Amino acid sequence: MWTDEDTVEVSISGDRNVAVLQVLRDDPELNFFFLADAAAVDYGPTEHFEVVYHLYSDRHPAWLRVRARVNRADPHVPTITGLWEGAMFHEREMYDMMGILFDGNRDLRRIYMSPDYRSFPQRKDFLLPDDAADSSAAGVRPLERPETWDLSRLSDELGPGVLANAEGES
Amino acid sequence: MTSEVKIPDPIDLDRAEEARLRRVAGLAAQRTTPAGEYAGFESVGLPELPPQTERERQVYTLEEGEMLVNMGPQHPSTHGVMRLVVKVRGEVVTDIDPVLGYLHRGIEKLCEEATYTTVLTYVDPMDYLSTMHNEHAPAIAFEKLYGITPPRRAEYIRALVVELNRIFSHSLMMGFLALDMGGITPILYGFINRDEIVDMLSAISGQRMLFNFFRVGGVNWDTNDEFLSRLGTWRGNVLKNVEMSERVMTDNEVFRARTIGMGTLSGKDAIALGVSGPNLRASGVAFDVRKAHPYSIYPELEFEVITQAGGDSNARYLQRLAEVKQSIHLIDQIIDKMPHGPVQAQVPGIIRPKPGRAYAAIESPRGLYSVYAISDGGPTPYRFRMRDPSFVSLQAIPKLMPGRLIADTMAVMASFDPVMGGVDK
Amino acid sequence: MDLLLGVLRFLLATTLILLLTVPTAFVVIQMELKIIAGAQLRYGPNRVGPWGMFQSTIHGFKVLAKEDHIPDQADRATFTLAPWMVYMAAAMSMLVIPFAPGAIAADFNIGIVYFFAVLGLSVVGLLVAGWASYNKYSLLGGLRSAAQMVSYEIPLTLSVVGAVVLAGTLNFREVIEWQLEHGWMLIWQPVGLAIFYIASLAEINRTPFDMVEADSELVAGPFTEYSGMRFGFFFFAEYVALFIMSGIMAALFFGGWLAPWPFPAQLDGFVGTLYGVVWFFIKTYLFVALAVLLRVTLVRVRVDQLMGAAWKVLLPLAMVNLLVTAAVVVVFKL
Repeated sequence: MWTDEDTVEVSISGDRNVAVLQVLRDDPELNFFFLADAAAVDYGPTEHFEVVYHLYSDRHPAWLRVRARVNRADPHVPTITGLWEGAMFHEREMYDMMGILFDGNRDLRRIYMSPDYRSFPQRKDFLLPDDAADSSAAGVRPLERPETWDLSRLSDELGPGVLANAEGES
Repeated sequence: MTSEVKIPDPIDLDRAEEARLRRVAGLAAQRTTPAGEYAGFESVGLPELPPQTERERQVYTLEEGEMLVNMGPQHPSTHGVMRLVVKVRGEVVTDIDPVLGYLHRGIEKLCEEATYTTVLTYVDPMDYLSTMHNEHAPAIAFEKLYGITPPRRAEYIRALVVELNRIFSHSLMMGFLALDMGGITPILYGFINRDEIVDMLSAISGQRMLFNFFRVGGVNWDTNDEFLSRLGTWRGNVLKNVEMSERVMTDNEVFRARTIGMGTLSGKDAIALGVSGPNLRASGVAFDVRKAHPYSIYPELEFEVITQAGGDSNARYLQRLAEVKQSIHLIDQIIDKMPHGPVQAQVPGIIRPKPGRAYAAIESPRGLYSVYAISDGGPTPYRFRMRDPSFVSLQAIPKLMPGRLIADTMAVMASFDPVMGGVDK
Repeated sequence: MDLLLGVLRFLLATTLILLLTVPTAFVVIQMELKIIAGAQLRYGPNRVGPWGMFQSTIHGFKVLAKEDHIPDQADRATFTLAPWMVYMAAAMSMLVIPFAPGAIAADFNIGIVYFFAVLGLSVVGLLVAGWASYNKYSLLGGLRSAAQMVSYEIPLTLSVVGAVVLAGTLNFREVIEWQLEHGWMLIWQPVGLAIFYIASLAEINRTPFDMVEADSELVAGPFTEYSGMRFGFFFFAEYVALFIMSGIMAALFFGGWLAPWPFPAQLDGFVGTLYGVVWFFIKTYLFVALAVLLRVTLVRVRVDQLMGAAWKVLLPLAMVNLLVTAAVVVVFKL
């Protein structure tokens, strides 16, 4: 795949990300002092993840994109919160949405979803109804359990029959 | 249909529903526990929470004399729905844990199923006070993917509405800053400023807040007479209006006492935290995406990067005031230089860019707003990632607040101008 | 017979005062609504009655119609008592306000002392409200309010002592009569006036000193759990207190019922009472409008800055003022 002209792309493997980013940030020639974005990409249910960092330097006209490849079966990546504190929320979001674990992150918990949520929404193999049925509230919320839907309530005629239906069903 | 239809009382329906659910879950039909407990949890148990992280332990362990105060998702003065768990000792804040996600709408995932043009409507309500910027970045990214450049007039119109948006977003921020500290007037002046601009933008885009204006390849409509006449009137009044709001706040002694020296963020800390935009420039770092990595027609406009020294709330306020004036100056240049021509390139309704990756970053009123889009050749993006500046700026709050009073929490947060739509996507 | 007449007169006066508090609150609230609207470039209420005159009255009736809810675990007796205490503080202090010559409800010899003593009752009311609500935030708000009001009472009372020393009396009527002969107190006690004004705003919890009800932080402070007429009591008491403080400032420093010009400054008889009442109300409502303008312009002062101002600035200034006044009185045998 091509990439846009004003970005330079570098692909590395996930476990070297701290070393690479540190060099990029600290070397005075390179001077990539600003972490513009840290994102995660899922390439498919059988493919790998990618953690993508975009960096800005005042010495280079282009953005730098560092693509760190992460194994799907064992998605561990070292954290870069030691280099940029502001990466903490990015990493929390990547964990929450993709399930990528960052080793060494002091606060790796969900940021958008509720703390007891059990799947990772932005993965390509995420299916909402399955997930809901599997959630801890299953059995209580009728919309998530089709066998509990009372189709007779959808009829035009309302009347005492409605309550009788509700009482009679089990 | 009988002539007498008895509509059951909703309360009866609820009770019948609850009884049936309880039977389904295997419980007795009537509750015997006190009101307030959810029916059914006895059978499935309460949710298991994951183990506490190190930082969570740090925040939620209380020492002698400390208390957790919840500035809950419903605040009277809020920038959206956000929960701040504040650990206080008396009036002094010792730690803060922001809890986000109350406004999470899954926009990134939704956009993977939407065509490129539809994506531009989905991103509108992210950072709902700077809608044009929300649309600008994806438009640039998709144009890079598709390989076209919008016509010159379209670029100029884009820059015009984007700067207008910046002005009214900053006006609102100044109003909210005062409102969070108890001043009830500047917010109304801010809304007066906003209303004039929004009326203008509704003449050109048909909407007052979530302008669905940008398209891949240009903008949707050209300027019309009403827009131009309102623009003229507005331009005649704006400096006076800005000065009116400025007079109530800038030299206001109490306002200065509340903002000078509060929430001081050094330039180094700001860069480490990822803060960008006016917040970063108020800490002295001259980083403006429009100059650092110019996009659109900004290379042709003359302006300088304004910074303030100090990095406190007052500096952030002054920075935004200065940027409003700078934007007015930019708008003057844009109006002078606007060429004639088409406003949209010839682009099919559903575009299918070739597979590739594109990154586009713009300067939104809150900072660096960027879009990373991956196309797989189909009608919808494969991955659509937005980096919102408020999301990242929010991390500054737990760093700045410990040691300060609760009253400052709201004031400092208002000076960072987060908008929860952007934070929660 | 005299005793009976005296008692009757007293009962009449107190009833009138109690009844007067409510329309006063309505008028002050209406002024606030309209002035704030003007400053914010809005119309303000303009539907209810000509020029929206009856808006605040209708608000009063609306408040009566709301559900009266007491939290489960709140202490019912004190929860109910707190609004009464605050309202009584306002109403009782209204007894000594010098509306006009001959139109003072209770012409005490120690009127000034009585006034400030009774004003302190509202502190207790707020504290009790905060504690009785069984709510963390109300408690914090109540404590803050107690701290604020108690701190500002000291400069408030001290600032007035200078005027008392000059006039030689603690009776409001006699202070005004002194001002008739010697000119308004504001030229004799400008520093005292400044301290009094600032301290009075803090005492009645008006912006810029309204930490108590800082709604952007702790919802409504000690009033969070109050609804309906109970909240109405607190609300009206605040505006009645604003009226009272403005009235006392007019009385002590601006000549009370005296006209600004000396011909004549004061008339006799029934006409004199009317004349005095008109002037008194003009001055009082001017100061109320000034307080409202301050509210609409200034932002809230932070709690530590507030307390710092009271103890480190106003109190020493008030004491110095008192010393200087006393020295001048002794030296020049005024």
